[in-house]
Amino acid sequence: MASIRNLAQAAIILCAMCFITTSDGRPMVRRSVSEMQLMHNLGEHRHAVERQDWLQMKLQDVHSALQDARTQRPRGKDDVVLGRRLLPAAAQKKSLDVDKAYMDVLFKAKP
Amino acid sequence: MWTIWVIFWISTVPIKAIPPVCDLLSVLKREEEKCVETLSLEARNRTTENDLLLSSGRCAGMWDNMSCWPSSSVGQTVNAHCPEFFQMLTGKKGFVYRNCTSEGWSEPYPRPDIACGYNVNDTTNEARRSYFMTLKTMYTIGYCTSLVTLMIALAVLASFRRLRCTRNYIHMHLFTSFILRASSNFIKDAVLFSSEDTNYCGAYTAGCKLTMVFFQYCIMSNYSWLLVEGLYLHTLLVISFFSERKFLLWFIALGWGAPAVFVAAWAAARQLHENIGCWDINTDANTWWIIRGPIVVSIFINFILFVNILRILMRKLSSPEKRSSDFNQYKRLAKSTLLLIPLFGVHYIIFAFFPEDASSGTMEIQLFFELALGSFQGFVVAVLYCFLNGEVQLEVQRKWRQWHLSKHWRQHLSTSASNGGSGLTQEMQMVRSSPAEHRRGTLQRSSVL
Repeated sequence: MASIRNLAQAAIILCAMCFITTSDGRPMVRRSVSEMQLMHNLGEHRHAVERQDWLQMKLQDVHSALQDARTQRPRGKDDVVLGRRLLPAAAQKKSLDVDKAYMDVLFKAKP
Repeated sequence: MWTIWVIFWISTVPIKAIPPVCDLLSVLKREEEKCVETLSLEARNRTTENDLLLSSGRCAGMWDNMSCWPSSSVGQTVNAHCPEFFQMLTGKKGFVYRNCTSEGWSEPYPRPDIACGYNVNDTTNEARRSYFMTLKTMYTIGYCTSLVTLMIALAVLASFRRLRCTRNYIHMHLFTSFILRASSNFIKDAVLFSSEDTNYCGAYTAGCKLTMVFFQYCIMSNYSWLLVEGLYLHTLLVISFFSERKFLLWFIALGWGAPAVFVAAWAAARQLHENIGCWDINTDANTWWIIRGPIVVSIFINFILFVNILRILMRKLSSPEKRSSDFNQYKRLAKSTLLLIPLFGVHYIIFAFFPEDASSGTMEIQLFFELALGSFQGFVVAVLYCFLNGEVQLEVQRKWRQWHLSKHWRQHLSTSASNGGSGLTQEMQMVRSSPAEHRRGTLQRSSVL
């Protein structure tokens, strides 16, 4: 049967192609299915954005910590010098909330 | 059913992987704890005299949410390493300085983001975001169009009893798989795109993963039904006599069963080896091959079947008894080729084996071609194999005429009941017999395409 011979040929070509596409030794980048590729790219993008946003938030934290240091009065012994704790609650509330949410997950997730 | 339960059970097992920002946060937390320890050690060593000094000419040690600054005397410049999490992000080492002045600590200099090699004004992420959004809008339009047309087409094929044959049954299954593919895309987008805000590592629930499993299944079943279309047409042309009923059962098993097996295997592998996030990022190539392999193979087999069918068609068209003008022959061949491409998903072959290179723009082109344009495939298939199909048109016309006639008849009866309906029944018979002849004609035509 001609079709069976064709299919056999096809299978050989396919194997060769698979071999060629994976033999560069680099990690697999492509997903072959566009929906999956998009999902993958989007996932990585979100990951990057999440980290960037978080970093931006941290940078602001440093700024506000300094503001606090500028206005601080001489401290007593018991003041644990954590900039965040001495800041006005409202200014830091958001970032605290975010951090807390992360922390909750982080420490719950750890075995 | 069994697989669904297994998948559900697997995905309810608590998540152990640590999500994106959490690794940074744990590093930061560790540094903060270390700093508190150092500062409290400093505090313990203080005497009352030192305290006096502190209030007059010292900067108190502090943790500025990023680095640790030990207490120092006025006029000193203190340096601190770039925080570890910064190094994790940028891979660059550096120092940040603060002066201890009589008014307290100065601003850190250079600015931490600059000192540690981080570009705040980096707009690549913004550009990427708008690219994703454009792409999403385009394929949403495509899938919406496809979804509506496919549903109408499916309803048409299901409602007319005369259209029921193996070929249309397979078409109906294909339409269903296209509908599933489109709707699973919407569901996936609702889960992944909707929460624009950070989702606190923990938003990846079992439900999110189940959505991913469903999504993978829908995509895979669409590919398997494209393969079934190819296999069916090929057997029709190559094997003269075969039991269509038995074949149909096998085709259904292949079309819906095979993807279930592979997706279940993938879900199990994901749960055991790569349980990260919402299973939306595939970093482990081996796990991904469970889904990718069968899809690539099905695309390739379909391509071979497509070429073989075209060869058979060419032979039939150029056979001596049907010799017509060359131009006409090529026109028919071109027409059947164009008809078969969306049905077999032949266009997938272009990018399925494309050399891997993430740096070049091929990825963007592929995504645009296969998502923005490919989302209309369902629409094209519904139009070509349902709305433009001669049999379907005739059947719809017949139904329409019948309905029109019955209305007319009812009116006729109510106005002139005495006249009798001999002429009318004749007319009815004519209407009824003519589509059958046409139908035979179209069947012959469609068998050759």
